[in-house]
Amino acid sequence: MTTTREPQRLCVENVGQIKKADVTFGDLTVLVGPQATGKSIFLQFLKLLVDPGHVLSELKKYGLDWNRKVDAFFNIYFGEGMGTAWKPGQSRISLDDRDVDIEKLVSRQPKAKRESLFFIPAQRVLSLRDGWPRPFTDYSAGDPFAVREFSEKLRLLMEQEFARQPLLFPQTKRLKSELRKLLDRAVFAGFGLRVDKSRPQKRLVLGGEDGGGLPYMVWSAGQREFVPLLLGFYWLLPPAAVARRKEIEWVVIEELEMGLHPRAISVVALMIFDLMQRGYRVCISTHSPQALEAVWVLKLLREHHAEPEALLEVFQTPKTQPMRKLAGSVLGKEARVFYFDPTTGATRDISALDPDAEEAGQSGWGGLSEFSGRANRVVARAVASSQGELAL
Amino acid sequence: MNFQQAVGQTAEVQGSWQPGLQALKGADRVHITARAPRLLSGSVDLDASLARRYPNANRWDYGIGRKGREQANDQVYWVEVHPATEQEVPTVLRKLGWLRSWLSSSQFLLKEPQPEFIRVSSGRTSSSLAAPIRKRLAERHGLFHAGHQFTID
Repeated sequence: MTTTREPQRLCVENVGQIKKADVTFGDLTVLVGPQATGKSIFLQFLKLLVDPGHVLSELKKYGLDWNRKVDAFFNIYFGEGMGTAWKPGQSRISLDDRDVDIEKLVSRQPKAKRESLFFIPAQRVLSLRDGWPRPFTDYSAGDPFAVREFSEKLRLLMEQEFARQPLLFPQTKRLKSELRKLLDRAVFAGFGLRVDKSRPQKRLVLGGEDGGGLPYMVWSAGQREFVPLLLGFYWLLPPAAVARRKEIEWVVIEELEMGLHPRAISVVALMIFDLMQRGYRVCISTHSPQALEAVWVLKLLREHHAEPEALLEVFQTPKTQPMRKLAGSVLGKEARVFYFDPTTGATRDISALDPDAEEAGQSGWGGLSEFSGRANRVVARAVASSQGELAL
Repeated sequence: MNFQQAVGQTAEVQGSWQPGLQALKGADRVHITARAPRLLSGSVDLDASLARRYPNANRWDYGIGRKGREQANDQVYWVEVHPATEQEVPTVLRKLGWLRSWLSSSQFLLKEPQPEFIRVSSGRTSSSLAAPIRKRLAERHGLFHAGHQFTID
């Protein structure tokens, strides 16, 4: 089932390192490509164009001013130094084939404050300081809006929705029990995540029902990366009676694999499937071959009309009724993959993920599996050589 | 030594050498290409050439030569075009075993640089580049699974 919700297509030309990024979205859209090829800028543009009123009003609310100038706005929105990314006369953006006048957009008075895209940035680890979410105003004016806003959302989540709940993980009302169990094994190793109120400043700790607990600085790097991501999911998954936040249609997750072991990446992939089942459109960027392998499996199982159980088998997930339903729903969704090619500065649709394709960007999955291809060949040659000496 | 000389000096395939990729059967040609065709030093259809002598053997498909890069000798690619399903792996491995044994018994002379053994899929491949089956074939058998298309650099 292809989605008909707008926007369907975003095209960004001659902005920063992007020559031409042309992406038609699916229910799941995956962006791949080496560092500094423009994936993050592209996703931040999506946020700006989907939620212009919300972005402008938030910036104004916190006293940020750009004098209606595009370069000043870019320095605030994308972050310090990004003012020169927009080249007047050359840069161009279109949404669903309609040109967007960026100068007009940054000059207008924000009216509709509606927000329909939730952005989980790659720098999410910065959103916790000493184990508690930082407010928007804790950052400098040159820090990207996406990071500041995400951080502020987590702060509000903690201080409003979780104000009276000391235990954050496991949480019975937010995640499916199957996913909780998998997360417990893959990330938390039996430790609960809880709010420690024993000090003047509240903080998140792992374990320690009796008042002890491991503070933020002694968590593993993966746990420090994962907890903001988990809180982001909590924000998107309201308590059980409601499937999703109605006003939100889009979820952007940058580099879902950050700091995680492949088993934990599998669980995050399932959590993303959960978002898709709830009707969110999801865009991710990734450097993880495993994440693309998950998309590849999804595509092939869908093409071959496989039963939902086959997908659960890939993820070693219990074949319970809710998980079957989740898998069945996801197998009906469309995934698209785009490669940000550093040699041309343009994107390529590599959704076919065809390992047989002649073109290296396609067969090597945008660089994520080309190493494996080369490794196989060199090993085959070395093994043939040593076996040859024995046989010949 | 070049590939043509090596084929010419191997009694069982003498006279089977063809220029470029001309020894390949029509259906298989779409799967094998060369980035620089002028550097190809010929091909031989082992399967057809040896059918009478070894009628019941699991014969390998082709040998293809390419001019050496840094060496005086040509590089040889032994290529099998075969369905890439998991069930066909044992058959391909039997063919590889037969080829190795034939290379030894026929005293095929072009052993340096190390020839490459390449499996090319005649249908769509169902394994990604990182798939364990591809790793197993490389690690245990010295066989490179190139997928649907093999391009000689």
